[in-house]
Amino acid sequence: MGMTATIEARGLRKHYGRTVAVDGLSFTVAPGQVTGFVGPNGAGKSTTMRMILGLDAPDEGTALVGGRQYRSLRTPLREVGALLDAAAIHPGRRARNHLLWMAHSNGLPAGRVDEVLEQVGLGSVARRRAGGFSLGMRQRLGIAGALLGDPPVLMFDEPVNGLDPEGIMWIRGLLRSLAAQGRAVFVSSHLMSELEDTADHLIVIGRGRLITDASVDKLIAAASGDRVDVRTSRRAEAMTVLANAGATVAAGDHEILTVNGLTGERIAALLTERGLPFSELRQHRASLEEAYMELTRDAVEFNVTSVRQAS
Amino acid sequence: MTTPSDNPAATTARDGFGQLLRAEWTKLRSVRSTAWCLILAAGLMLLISALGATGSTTDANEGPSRRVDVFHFVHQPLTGDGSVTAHVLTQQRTGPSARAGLMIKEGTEQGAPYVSIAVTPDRGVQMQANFESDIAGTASGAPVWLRLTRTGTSVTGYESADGATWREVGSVAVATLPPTAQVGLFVTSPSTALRIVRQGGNTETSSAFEPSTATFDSVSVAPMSPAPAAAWSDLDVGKPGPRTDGTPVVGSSTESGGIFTVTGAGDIGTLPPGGDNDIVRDSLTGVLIGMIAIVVLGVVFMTSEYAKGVIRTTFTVSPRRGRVLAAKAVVLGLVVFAVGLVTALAALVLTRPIQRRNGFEAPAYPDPSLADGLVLRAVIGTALFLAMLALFALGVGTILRRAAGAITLVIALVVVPSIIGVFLPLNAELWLNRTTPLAGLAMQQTRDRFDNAIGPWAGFGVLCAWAAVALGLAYWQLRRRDA
Repeated sequence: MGMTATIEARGLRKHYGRTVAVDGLSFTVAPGQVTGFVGPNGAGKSTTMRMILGLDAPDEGTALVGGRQYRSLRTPLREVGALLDAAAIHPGRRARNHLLWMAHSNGLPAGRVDEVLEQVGLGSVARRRAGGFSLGMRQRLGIAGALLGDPPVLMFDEPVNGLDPEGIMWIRGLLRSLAAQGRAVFVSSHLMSELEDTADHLIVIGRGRLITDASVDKLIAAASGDRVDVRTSRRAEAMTVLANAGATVAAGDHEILTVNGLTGERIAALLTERGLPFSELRQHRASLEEAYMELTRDAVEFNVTSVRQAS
Repeated sequence: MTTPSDNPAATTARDGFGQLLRAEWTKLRSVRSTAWCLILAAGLMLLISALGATGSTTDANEGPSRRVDVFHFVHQPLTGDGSVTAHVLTQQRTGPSARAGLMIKEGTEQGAPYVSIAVTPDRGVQMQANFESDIAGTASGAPVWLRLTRTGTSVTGYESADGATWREVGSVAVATLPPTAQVGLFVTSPSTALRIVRQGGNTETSSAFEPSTATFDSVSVAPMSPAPAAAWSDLDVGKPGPRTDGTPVVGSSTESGGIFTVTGAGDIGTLPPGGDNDIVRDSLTGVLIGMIAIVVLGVVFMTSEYAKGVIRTTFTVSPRRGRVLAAKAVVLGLVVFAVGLVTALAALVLTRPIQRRNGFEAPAYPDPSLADGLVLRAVIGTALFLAMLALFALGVGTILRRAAGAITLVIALVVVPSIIGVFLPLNAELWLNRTTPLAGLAMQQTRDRFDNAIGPWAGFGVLCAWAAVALGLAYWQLRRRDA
């Protein structure tokens, strides 16, 4: 890995017809961690990835991989491994041959093909035609292609799509281990929950614009706020008591209440006073999904406001 | 002492084009459609060529001789020895071998033995006897004085520039010459054009004639023994073929003030055996159908990548798109050329026994040999045609990105002209065969024929131009288009 393992987007802009797909997007993907690239469908994730790979030409801005323009790379498989579309396989070609032509084009030895096939668990179906593969098998074949050149930078567009739970576990482990080896791993998803426990860093976009570029820890801390979770078997009464004391109370899973506006000590005192039994009084930790909802709600509100102003 | 670099990896990695060729070759060989297209192309080529050979027969070698004896004859009888003399004043040049001169003939029926001496526009004075021997004189063209003198069964021909100094051209013995023979003037003009009749896709060709007119004066018949002066009569010996427009040719003669004006058409002599069929081209005719599979192969080699989005993988692993197109073109061209070459040779070998059975054999149609440069060019040219057609298809496939549209367009440009061409007037067909990619098929020509639209290499050049334009546009599109 001679080059620095980074992806840099600087002011990327791209439109198709009258639709602006990506609008002034800048971010950096750092080595040694999994960077999630999140946004709803149509937010511009795939377009951004295509521009990074030199497939689509940006209207403005540049994308650099390891400090270089992708199109100037002579053996790109050794520098960037990418899976854009698992369906992009000639159905009549055997899995091994699909990887073999890729290996030949970058001067990689045929032995690498067999190695990556084993690595993704397709060793036994290497000589089957890809047309008969399930979506999960195609994802694995696409990932094998990305790993062929042992590159320091990896990009996967929605790699979890179509995988069974076992496959999802496998891919999470793979992404973590690739990052642990010091590689920059850039993974897109339209579902924040898919990146839970996988991503270290998140780049969130909406309508082609950057919404957040922050570490997962920071995002969750921000979304958690000062809320407190409390478990009680008599939720209705507890809610009344706490609300009367000036708190905002939300019912969560099972017997959990999430309380905003009161400290843990005050909650314990109030419930004890009324003789309401409770256990597990702890600082609330937001899920990544919640953090995402928080972020996108802001974005939606912002949009509503701007529409009002315009009318 | 210096040693060359011992690092082969350094040389292969320097440019990477060899790697691209390997990648594209792997792509091409690893899908079943490639083998199907090539097998279909070869199979159709052989099948259609064999069917064509089966349905084509000739009688070019039949009959003891292919004598022709057609001309206009102004004659009178001559009994015993004597001579006939004339001054050919003018001769209309309808072709290089039109003839105007004198003849002694056993009778006026076709095929009767004769001796003649005549002047031609381009081949000087020629003396001829009994459809065989030709003796060349020295005079170039009209005006010229000619004379035939009979002594027993021997006839001697003379030519003279001034009617005073005579030079003997030659002497011929005609054993069967009867005591009284017909002597006089004759004019004829061999066919130099074809009459082509097309009706509903069926083309018939026949010789077309344009009569030549010559004028003579100082015409005299001098018997050795005195005899009463005989009257001249005239007729067409044989029946000349029609003109190119189909109207019949009728010979004629008039005499006014000692000047004879004689018009006639036809030919006298023995035609060499043979026909004008191009049997090498006929053997390779199946390429007209086989090429459809090659067009599909060329188009699909690119469009199959667009169908599922493999093209994005291709341009991700090889960002220099022009080089990808070039590598595809080289691999496709070489594969199609190799298969085309083997198939063309096989077609030649396969169809030859059928052709022989149907009359296409020596001496009229000797076996083609690869040592013959024209035959070799036809065989290699067939492979080159297919290879270049595949490249044209590759270019169109790249521009349109969709197999159905690209195949339709290429077939419309290549196959349709070959099918509708025979229903069009000949000139329209020739124009199509000159300007469409089909012009590349001219490489198969081994004979000069009326339906040759363009020279072999020029025709191949036209096809190359089509391929170059398609690939050039494809390259430009690949570079500016998002993948």
